[in-house]
Amino acid sequence: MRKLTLLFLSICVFCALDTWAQNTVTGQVTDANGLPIPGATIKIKNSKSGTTAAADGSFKLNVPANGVLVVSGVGFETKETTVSGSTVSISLKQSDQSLNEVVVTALGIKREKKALGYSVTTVGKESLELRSEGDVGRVLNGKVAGLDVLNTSGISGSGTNISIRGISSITGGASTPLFIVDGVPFDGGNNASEGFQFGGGSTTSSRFLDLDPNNIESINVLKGLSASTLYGEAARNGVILVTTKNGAGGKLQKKKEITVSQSVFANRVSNLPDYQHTYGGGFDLVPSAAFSNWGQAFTNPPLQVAYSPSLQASYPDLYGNGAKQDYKDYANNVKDFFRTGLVKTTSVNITGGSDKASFNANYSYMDDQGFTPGNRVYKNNFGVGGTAKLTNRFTLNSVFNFAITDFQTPALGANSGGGGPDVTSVFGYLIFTPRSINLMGLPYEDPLTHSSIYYRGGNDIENPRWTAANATNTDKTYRSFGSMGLKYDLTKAITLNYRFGYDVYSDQTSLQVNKGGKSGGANYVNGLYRTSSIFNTILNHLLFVTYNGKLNTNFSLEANVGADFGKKTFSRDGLKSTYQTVYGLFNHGNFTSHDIYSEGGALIDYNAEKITAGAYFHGSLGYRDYLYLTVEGRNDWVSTLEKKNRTLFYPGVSASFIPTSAIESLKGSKAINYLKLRVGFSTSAHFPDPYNTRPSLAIATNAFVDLNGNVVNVGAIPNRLPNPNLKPELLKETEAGIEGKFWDNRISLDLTAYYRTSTDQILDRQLDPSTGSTVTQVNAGSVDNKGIEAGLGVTVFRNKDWTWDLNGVFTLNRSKVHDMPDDIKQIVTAGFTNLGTFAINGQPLGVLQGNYRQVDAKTGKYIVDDNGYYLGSSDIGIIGDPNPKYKLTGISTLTYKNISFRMQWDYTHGGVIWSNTVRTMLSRGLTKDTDFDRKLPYILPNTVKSDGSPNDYQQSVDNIYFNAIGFGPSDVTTWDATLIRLRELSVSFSLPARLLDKTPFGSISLVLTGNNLWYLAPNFPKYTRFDPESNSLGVTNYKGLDLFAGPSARRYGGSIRVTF
Amino acid sequence: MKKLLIYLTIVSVIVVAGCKKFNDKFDSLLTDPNQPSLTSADVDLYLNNVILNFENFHRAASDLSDPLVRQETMFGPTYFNQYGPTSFDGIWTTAYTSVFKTANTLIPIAEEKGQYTHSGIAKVLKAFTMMTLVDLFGDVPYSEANLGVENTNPKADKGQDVYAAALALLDDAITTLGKDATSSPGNDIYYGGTASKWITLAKTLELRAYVQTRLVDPGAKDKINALIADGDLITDESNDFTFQYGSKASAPDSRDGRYVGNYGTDNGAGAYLGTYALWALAKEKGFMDPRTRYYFYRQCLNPTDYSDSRLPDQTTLQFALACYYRAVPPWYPAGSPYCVLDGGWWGRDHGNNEGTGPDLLVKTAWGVYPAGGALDYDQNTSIGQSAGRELGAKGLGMEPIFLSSFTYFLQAEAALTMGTAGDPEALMLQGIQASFDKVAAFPGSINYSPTSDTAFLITDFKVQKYLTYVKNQYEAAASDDAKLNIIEKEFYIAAWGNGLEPYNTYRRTAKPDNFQLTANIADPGAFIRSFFYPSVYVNLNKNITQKTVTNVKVFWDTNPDNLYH
Repeated sequence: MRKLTLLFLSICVFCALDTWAQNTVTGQVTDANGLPIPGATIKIKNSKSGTTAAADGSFKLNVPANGVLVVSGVGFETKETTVSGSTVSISLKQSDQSLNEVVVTALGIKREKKALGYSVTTVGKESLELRSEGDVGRVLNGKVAGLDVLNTSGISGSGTNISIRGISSITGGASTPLFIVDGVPFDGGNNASEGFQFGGGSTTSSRFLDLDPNNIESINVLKGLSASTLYGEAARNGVILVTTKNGAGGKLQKKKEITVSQSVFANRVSNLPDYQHTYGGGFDLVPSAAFSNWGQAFTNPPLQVAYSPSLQASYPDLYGNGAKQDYKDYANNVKDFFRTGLVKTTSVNITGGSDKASFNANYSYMDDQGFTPGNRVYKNNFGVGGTAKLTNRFTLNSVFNFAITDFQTPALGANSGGGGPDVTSVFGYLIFTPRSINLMGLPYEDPLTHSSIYYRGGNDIENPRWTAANATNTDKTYRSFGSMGLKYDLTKAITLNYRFGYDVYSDQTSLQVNKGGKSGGANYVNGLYRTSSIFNTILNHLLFVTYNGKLNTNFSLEANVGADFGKKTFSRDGLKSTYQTVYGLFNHGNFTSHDIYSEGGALIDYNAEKITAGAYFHGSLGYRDYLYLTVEGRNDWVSTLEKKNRTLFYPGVSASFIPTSAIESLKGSKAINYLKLRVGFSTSAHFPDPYNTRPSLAIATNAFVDLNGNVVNVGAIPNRLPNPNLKPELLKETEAGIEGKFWDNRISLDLTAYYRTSTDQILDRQLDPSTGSTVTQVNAGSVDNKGIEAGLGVTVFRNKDWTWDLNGVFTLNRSKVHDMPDDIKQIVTAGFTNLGTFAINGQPLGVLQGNYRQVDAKTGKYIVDDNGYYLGSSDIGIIGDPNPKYKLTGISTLTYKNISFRMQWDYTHGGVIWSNTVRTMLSRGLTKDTDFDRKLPYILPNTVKSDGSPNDYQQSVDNIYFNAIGFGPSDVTTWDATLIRLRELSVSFSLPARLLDKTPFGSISLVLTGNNLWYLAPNFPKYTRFDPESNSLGVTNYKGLDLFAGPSARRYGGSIRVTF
Repeated sequence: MKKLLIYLTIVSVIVVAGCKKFNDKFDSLLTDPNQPSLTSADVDLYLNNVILNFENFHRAASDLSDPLVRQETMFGPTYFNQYGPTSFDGIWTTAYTSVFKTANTLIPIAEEKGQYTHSGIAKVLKAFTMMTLVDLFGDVPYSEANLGVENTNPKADKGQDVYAAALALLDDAITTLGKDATSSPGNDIYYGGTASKWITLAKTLELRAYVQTRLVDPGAKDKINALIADGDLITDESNDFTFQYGSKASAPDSRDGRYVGNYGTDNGAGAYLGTYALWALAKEKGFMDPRTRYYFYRQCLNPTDYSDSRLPDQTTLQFALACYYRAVPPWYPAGSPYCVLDGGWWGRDHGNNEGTGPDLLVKTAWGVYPAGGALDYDQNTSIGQSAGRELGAKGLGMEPIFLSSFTYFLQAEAALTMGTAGDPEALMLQGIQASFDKVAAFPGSINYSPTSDTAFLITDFKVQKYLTYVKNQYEAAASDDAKLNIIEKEFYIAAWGNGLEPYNTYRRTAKPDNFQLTANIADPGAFIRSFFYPSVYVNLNKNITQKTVTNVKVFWDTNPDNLYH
């Protein structure tokens, strides 16, 4: 490193000595209207020297004889002027980069942005590379207006929720947008084989994890429904269009470059509760091996208590024979459970080409160690792509990517927070560990049997350290995806295209629990091994013709007509074995009992196949470069519906108008550099999942084995009632927007308002079981989403050395359910029927319902029962709306020469969460929120008795917290989830190119990054330090329930990138 | 432009042709490859479904009832808080989507094929389920139920109408079962496919219904007398209506659920047994009921002996057994059981909602009868799967759905209160004898005999002593009400393992009259006279609103609103 620095310094000295004969020139740089352009750069061609124009546009520079000045300004076209005197006046033409901006739209077709009648947001590689997260979804968080990202957990590799423009479908499954990678559909789903109660969604990855952010050239987010015209119904939730560096080689390029980057980040737990340090485990101020932390206050010297029976039994010499331990504050018992993980990413990219062909190849390796012991992700990504011009008319374009993603995490079931026979979860018994428990200082397993030992008298709960070491979910994927395209230029304007795309992966998931655990009941504690093998394929053929040309001097036409055919297959098989024979070995042969049902009771074997065919047209008529009208339409045929209903046509129309090109007086305006108005109406379709129209039977083999060993099998009629009349669903959207650049391009605005509605939804309509069935799929109910997406960019100042850019992203969405038929009371959309999210007429989609405190009509205060605890309702009611009111992101980028300082702040306003983590923290007396004098009796504040008189029922404070909060009505522990977060802070530095002229390096850059360095959720109890940005409901449309999802991650570190 | 049109046409033709070609393929993907087709319907498989799900249903009904009658502890502490509406989702779903739906599908197919035993069994089990739904919830959907999308919001029928329909269905079942069947069921776990036993059950269920509704049915006496005269009731142990569990531990776990929850892991005993039930057997009569060691298993014979290594520390014990260090609640009447009973009978008081203490390896667990656990012969050993722990009868438990002893007790109640045929005292004693016979024979029936020491087993001597005691008690009772109390107490003891019958009896008669009061609060609110409606019912059915109080009475219950505790 030091040698390198010396080399740079000597180059600098050499540069400084490099002089010519020269004369001094003064001048002024102005725009077309004669107004000065401060900050314009004036350089001497073929030389290193130059200067910057002052506020009045003036400059002074030593120029060699016949020197050529290269003058440039942001928002202006660069101009070269030969100097012939000592003064010079230079007028720059405003650049029309906004006018010529090209974006990649559906099918990889590049279109001029000005012609688009809908909103597209582009995220460039600079916002994607060298990040501490390997998950593209999480990297995009806050960077795109209208895009909502929510983690299932802070566990590295756990699933991620993404949705665009709210949720349109009540029961249609997660609204994950369609991923299109290099023009080919890419499965971004989450192969959870279990419900959220069993860790579904968080113990399996969202499959866009298989993408490597370092290999992405750009991402275009197509938010509107118009994208679905070209991609079909799968695009109804928006499209995340990923162009990999390998796939970007659509144009021939001769640049040859090798890029190597290396990142190292530390991965730490970001939010542990602020525990109190006054009281220890127990109840009623009596120390004991309770779950709760309502024991006696710590004393000096500490009280001496016996070791737990299990410790004594396993280690009689150490902990038996009357040995005692201190009953004291083990202050870091939870904190020390976590570790600092390392996240290392190495990436190599090679690009090159000739006149006839170019290629790009990429390899990267990521090793992401979570902050939780036992959690890690390995990713290997390899890709190569290229373009070759075969003859004058044929062009071949091909991409091949291969990914291995290997994810492992300790078991992560949803947890009720105490006592209950929950499924095993590493966070289940961890976060509320009593303060007096020496979690890290004592053994967690028996030395001989390896069974879990812990502090409880009956040894009835699992030691989290045992869970981390012995209960593991694995998810390993081998994936290949890519495409081959052939283009034939029929005429100059007409091309014929064929593309074959594929995405094929095998996904091996398992749950491995050694025998000797304590959680989850007989199936778990005797050893459990469940393996599922998923094979998923998406094959896609696409044929299309494009026309792009001028019809006459005024009109131009860009048209595209095509047809595609896609096939998606999913198959899963596997086995669950229980009763492990030899500890530590996970092979089905080492288990005595074998079953076809997963731990949640679902049949592991499942096969599904779906084929779709589509035909579309798309035409955009341009008038004199400022008015564009686009008409499009698509017809889909999908195999999941009966013949009469399997087809749907859905059209769209949009227009865009560029006043700055059309209106003479606006041309060249300094205040309004660019303005575009757009309006569009588009539609999309939703077809159901397979097998909802035809009846079948259900068979359960091995339902019971009687006393004599006779196996009883049963036949049943499935509880899902088929609906042969099911129809596809039509979604409609109107959007209007303004895009503009103002004040010398210093301010940019992209504002969109949309109104989306989907009527007669494909609805999983739950039925009262007394109908004989529990669910059927019908066409009913509507959801409206209206919202605003805004992006605002401001260049606060820009001069020779300094640039300060501020970017804001604003997202607001309001949903409303309506037209639910009279015979439907409500739809449970997630969670439990008495505490979950619902679709109710007139309400936002996914409101949270639960039982609630009864309120005295006269005083407006909560009523208590005869014990002084809250009187709950017997029914459920709305206790909050988990949907945020709005989200705001602010990104500040301050650049000084080659150093750039970047901050991303995210703010989420509103939304509620019922948090079991916080509920447990409070009701078990763990955090500083309950660090008060616990000897005093307590009366629930602001309450009355059932007769309306003031509540005078005194109780011990732990009884109140335990019963009124811990077991109280659900609304007691529902909080507003407003959140402010410093999501990212980074400093990047790139060595000036001139320093590298004489070196083999093209560029060298360094980035230091910190993620999630600080956050505040001000409306949660202060010391619980709860992070609302996680979702225990898994990968789903719904949120608002936390069931010990675990803490979030904080990552910081650095990256270096070198190009050759 | 012309060229463009040509190309467009070519593409269109290709597209249209392609779609036609794929239409057949599309059709082939409509049928679920993961499930068998409708043509594979099989009456035997359907009947197996009804048989197993009736057991699930009855077990759930029993488990929901048993904390209310102090068999297991009620957490509470108020009756209002005891059960959230989701507690009933499972039993509701099982009743309608498994028992009713499968039975409704099975009956016409079976009768068409002459499989009358199949259809008769389905009818009996359906009728039992219908009556039990009413017993638990009051008014429930029946006439509008199980119509699928034709009626997505079935209205509730009056409880008495559902009962009437169930009784008619039992009559129908008796007729059906009397016909010659073309085949016999392959997996009749209850009665091995013997139609006559099902007829006996059907008639006994009618008796049960008539006693149940005696407060609202003036014709009950004649109906009961007619059944007694007919003489085809479950009065012999061989006709007992029970479900015998298996011993397979997984894939599928066929063991008794009470066994699994206690002995199935090394975590120790699951639910707490009710202090009252332990007391009623071990203490109340002044001598130990001979069934006590069959019903309950003590992991620790002396919970206050600190030398027992499983009770390591006095502070821990103080936490685990907080009640032991507290005064008896002042609202408890004298002589009422409280906390741990001498001899290690460690249950939990009614309505004690304290956290679960570290007592899983020491508190009293379910015994051999009927859960398939261990006989208590003073092993003083914790239960669990590892070596050295007590495993008992490996889960070969039994669900005592309706026993011959129950028939005698119901007849005794009817004879005493309505003057139906028979002597109430003699019937009661027959019931007790039948219960002893049942319990004593049970371990042998599942090949479990860990000891032959008569000190721990039921012997004729002990039975005679017991019978004499109760006989004297009955004869000394001053009033019919006091006599009824003795009959129902014996019914209560004999019904151990079945929560439903005592719960029905208690609401019908308010007996036994000395149930333990709630421990942690003086006033638990009104006793649960019918359960809240299930969450899946009130939250998904437009025509139903949730009950707001706990004492909404079932139609056959005309007792005062606040008679019970």
